[in-house]
Amino acid sequence: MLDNPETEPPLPADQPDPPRSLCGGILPGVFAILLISMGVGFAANSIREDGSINLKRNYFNKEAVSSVSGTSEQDPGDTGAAADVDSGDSPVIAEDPDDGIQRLNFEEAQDNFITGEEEFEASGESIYLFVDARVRDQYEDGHIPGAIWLYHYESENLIDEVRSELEMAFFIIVYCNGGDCEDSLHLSVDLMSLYNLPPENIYVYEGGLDEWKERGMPVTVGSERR
Amino acid sequence: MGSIRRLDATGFPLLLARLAVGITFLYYGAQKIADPIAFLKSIEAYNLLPTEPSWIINGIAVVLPWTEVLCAGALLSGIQLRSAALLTSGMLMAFTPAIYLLGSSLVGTKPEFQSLCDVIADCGCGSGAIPVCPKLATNCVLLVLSVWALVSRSTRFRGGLIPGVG
Repeated sequence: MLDNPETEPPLPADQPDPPRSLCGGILPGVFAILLISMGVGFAANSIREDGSINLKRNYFNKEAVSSVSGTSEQDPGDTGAAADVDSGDSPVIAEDPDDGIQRLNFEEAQDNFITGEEEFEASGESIYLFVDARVRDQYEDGHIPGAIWLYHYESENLIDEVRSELEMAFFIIVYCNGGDCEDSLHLSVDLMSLYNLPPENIYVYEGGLDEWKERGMPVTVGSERR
Repeated sequence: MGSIRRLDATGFPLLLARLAVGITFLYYGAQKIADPIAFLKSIEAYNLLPTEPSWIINGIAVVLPWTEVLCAGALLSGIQLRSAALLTSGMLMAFTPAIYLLGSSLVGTKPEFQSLCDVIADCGCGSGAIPVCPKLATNCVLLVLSVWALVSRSTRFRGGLIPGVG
């Protein structure tokens, strides 16, 4: 089993030479392994139900469409219907790394959350919508109350379920865990460019859920939004 | 050189190389296959591959884990052993400097990351966030073993390690 019976016992001095030439034996084997890997890999990716990768999609868009860059410096509360609804609660851009993505710091996210919850309690709806870009397990482990789940890497399959809510909201605030997590940035760009939502309505809360919990803000555990 | 040849002729270094590299690649390849999106995210974090055109980085995330598993199968079964050893050596030679660069880029980004050996990062190896230095050391050992499997002239332990295979 372990030893090749045809070549035992080994003879250090004049043993046969098992290594084959590079072109004669090794490289064809390398190509065979690579070809089989590609065939099996692509086939497995195409049939898996969850977690498949869309080869054509760029999951790592980091720069918003050019029209967002033009609007990123202005106070979104001064634009369109959002200002008509409640300009006093409009978020302020925390910083602008010149990528066209509007960012909120903790205080701004907190203000929007409180106002949104008050609106929801009063009328049953709100123009503030938090969007959780993380994987489902993380969402169920704890999310900002009222947040919808839109996992960035499966957003193509999930967008239809939440599109109407996204289109009704004037302040779409996307978050993930914070820290090194960039999925909220990628999703915010996709919401603008891939799903054609108004760029001026979309914000990223970069502190994410880690900061949210550190600051003692409430979270909802489980699949229910609130 | 003579002592190395005698050691090689015993076949045990080749056996160790096949088992260590084969089992490692099998385990980490399976982890990546189970969650290809996590693997895609981690290889993007290296900032070494272009995200446009997207099929390059996405294709690597889809294919590379299967290459690792097939190489592991070849190393353990003895079928195309040297071809698999060449591939694992190539992968380790590519991964190890990339992990070093990733770890170096993270030095100083957090208060606790004072030096390379303080850095804990997800190297995309399928093991989640781990200390970088032990990972580099492990990879160097695996690289030596993988090259050994490639160049070994031993005829012992060259067949299948599983009954009836190879």
